[in-house]
Amino acid sequence: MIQSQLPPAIRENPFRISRLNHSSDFRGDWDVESLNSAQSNWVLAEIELIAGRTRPDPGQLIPIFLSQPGYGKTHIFGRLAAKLKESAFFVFVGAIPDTRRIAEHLRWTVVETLFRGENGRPSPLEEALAELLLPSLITHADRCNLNHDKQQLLISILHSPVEGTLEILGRSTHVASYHKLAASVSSRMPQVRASIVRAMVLALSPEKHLARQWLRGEKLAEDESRRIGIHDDSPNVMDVLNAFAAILEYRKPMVICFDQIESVLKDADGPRLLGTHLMELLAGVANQYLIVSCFAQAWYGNYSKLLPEAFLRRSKELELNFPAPEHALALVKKRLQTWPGYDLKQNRSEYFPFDSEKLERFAREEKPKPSELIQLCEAAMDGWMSGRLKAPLVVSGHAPSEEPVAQLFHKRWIEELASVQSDPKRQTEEMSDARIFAAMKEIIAMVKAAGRRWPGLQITVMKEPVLPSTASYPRYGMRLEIDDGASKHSVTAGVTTMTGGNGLFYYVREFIKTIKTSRGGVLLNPRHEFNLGQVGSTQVKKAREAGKLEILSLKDHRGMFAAMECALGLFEQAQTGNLVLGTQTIGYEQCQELLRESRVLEELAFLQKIAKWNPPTQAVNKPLNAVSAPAAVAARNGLEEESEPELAAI
Amino acid sequence: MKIEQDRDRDQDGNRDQNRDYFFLKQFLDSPGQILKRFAGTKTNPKGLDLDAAAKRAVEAQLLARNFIAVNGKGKDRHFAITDAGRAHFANLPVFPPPPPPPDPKLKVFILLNLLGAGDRPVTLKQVKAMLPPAVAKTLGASKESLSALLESLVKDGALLKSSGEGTSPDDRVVFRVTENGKQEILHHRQHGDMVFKLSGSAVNQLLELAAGKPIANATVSHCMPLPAGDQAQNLVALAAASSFSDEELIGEARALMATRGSNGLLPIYELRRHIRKKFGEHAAGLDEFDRKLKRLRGERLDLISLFDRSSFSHDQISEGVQGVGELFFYVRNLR
Repeated sequence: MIQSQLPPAIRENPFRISRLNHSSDFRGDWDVESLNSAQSNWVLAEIELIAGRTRPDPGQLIPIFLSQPGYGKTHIFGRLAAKLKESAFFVFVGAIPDTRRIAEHLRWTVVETLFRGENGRPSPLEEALAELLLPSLITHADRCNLNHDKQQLLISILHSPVEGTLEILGRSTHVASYHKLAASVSSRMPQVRASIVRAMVLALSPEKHLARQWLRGEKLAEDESRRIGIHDDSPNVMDVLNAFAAILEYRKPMVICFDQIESVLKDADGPRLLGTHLMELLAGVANQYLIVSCFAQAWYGNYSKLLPEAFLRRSKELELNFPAPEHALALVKKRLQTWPGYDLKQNRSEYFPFDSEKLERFAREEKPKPSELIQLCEAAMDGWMSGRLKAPLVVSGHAPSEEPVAQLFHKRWIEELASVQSDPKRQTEEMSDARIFAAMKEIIAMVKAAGRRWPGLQITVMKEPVLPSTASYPRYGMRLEIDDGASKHSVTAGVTTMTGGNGLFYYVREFIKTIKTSRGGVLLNPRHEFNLGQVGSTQVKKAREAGKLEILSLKDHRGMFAAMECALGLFEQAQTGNLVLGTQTIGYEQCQELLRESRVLEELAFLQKIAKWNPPTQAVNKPLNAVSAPAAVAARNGLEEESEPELAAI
Repeated sequence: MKIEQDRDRDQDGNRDQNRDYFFLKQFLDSPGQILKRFAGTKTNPKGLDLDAAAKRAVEAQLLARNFIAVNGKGKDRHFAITDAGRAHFANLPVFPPPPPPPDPKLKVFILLNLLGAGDRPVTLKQVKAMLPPAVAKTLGASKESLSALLESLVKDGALLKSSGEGTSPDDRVVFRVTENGKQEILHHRQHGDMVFKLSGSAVNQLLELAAGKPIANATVSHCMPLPAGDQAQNLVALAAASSFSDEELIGEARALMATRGSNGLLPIYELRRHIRKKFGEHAAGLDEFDRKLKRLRGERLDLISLFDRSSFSHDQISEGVQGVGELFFYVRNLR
């Protein structure tokens, strides 16, 4: 048999995926249930206990999954979600971008999970509302004299209660009828904030997107607030969770998983802030279960010392194990069983093309972590499929990669960018300003670390916050000090997701104030349209004409936002040990270096705009079409000045 | 006169340290047991001069320095080692001291002769015959040094020792050279006056090893030599014949945790350096220390790998234990 001539489906390596980015990446048919079953079963039993509770349980503990990267913390979250299926509302909270805004990050994630249906299914919020409203609908039908068609529709509900109910509720095009329904539902739930329940019921209406924006913390313009009949400030996350628990009628527990809590360690006060926030959630939200995961080195090192004592008393450490030989064999077998070429084994071993005895011995003696074992199997399988290796395959240590790391990094960049563009959860429209600002910060930190090696821009200081935040809405911005060799000057960079109304007006006013004392400012608005109003537009026009303000919106710069999310994704993977290229695990600083060397961000629009105030390449306050230093670099590389190199890479 | 007095004082100091080591070790070798009689009262190792008075003096000194404690009264009176005693033990030189490493020229001479035998097992009698008096004199070897050398090579995994079917005791012990042993041959120079009779296949093997050609059936190379075939069996033999026991390793790590550990994590470089100081270079090496830690992982201790390297020096990192795709850097949860 010549493996390289196998049909494409069979040539797809079943070991290609070795890490999960999100709990939803979990595949049940690959799960070796006996590995770390004690830990996951303990958590499942605890979750069962809280269902039906209308008040927080004072004895509830927070389990902490501990291991180093690659041992399957995210996998265990996926297993829990799969086991719980529809019996719980499951929220996966990824790395926290801003330790000062942990509650806002959680609110955003919870609301996005509430509104997002997977695989064509209704969203969790729609399902909960359908289940809540179904009895009323049936009672109402009983009382009314329905014609034949409506009777048939009701009968169909009995066959498919959730979809049927949603179909009936979705037939109205009048927003007013949804307002009535929202008022009726909220009046039955006096224990939770009425405006939140109203907004959640409006998830069934044509104004769903506004309800979603308000719930996740975006400031609405006045006319938008009027359309959904809600004029309050956005709610806090505890109120959102309590309202949803009431809509669920406390039947289903809400399971909230905080993955990679070591991400808050970049702020010395991060662990204390997170610990305090988790304790508040534990005490303030009914029918909810919290789980966290953390690097063992960080946890045993200094994390646990920085956490509040009360948190440590209410937590339970659950350390993940490495696979025993029988787990390793099961892992390989399960992957092979889902491989279309599994039938090729015919009468041979069920581990074909692997040598199971040697695999078992390798697992016994070397005790590899699961992700590493999968990667080794992938390499061996690749060798067999290309005809370089012959069965039975022996898994031992790593083969040194033939490709240079820089080349592997470039490939990874392209893969990551494709993932950003295809994943609905990573679309710029649905992204918080905190995340986009985090991406901006990471990229600027990389440029700063590069010093004089970054063409046309040398950032010496990053300072934040520079814009005064309100109690409800953070204003993201930072001041950059730039050394052009001859002189030093400063530039302001900011991000806002607001699209209009007073909120945007005041943001822009504050932003323009800060650029009066600096050479200029770049403002990113990751939405298609935004309306500053008459006064705001005049101010912006003046600042632009003075050559001191650049606004980059999603409408003209989709590629830039995708590249920023891509870079942030890679930095997050590097920080959590998940950026593996060939045999190397790439750390944070190395990722900065590789990204710089790859030059894929050199012409990122916001960096170019920042550099445009950088003499002597260009005189200050020149119009936009002047040639900047990065543009000169682009010209040398044969690229158009306005082209997006990150897209060109694909 | 003064020099003699200094030498006597040094000898007395060493003897006191050895006595402390001898007694404290027995507490550590009996974890969880209550020693109702003072440890070691029935034995009297050579060099410690332990008469009854000396034993009482050692007991009194260990008690006075709070290295051991007396618990209970009357019939229930028993001794226990204290944390201070563990810490003191961790800093004492090993008694009896490990034997000196074998002479490299003698080592590679024997290994190359064994390689010349091909796959055929070689009896102890035949090995002795490889070292006629003239050759032994040139290499500065003796009968005693040959026995010690063979034991050492077995421990290092360079030779595989098994039982033969001969009539005399020297015929009933057989040796085979392992892959490790073949690699050893490449790492040391032979004595210039030695002459060898080698088959073509043995020479070919040496050439392949020197060129770094892959070992047959190895599909994916490893960053470190991996046990396979004979080598894997050697590991078992090696574990059984280690120069320091698992218990000693756990005991040393426990003692060191008190002074060098933090929040339940003991850096491996600290433990390795301590083991090197106490048991010698070989004990702290890949074959002994690294394999022992990996074998005990999950059973007697846990290993935590290093991800954030920013707080450690290159030397500290390089003294970690290389796992598959991760570098173990801490020991924790000793049990």
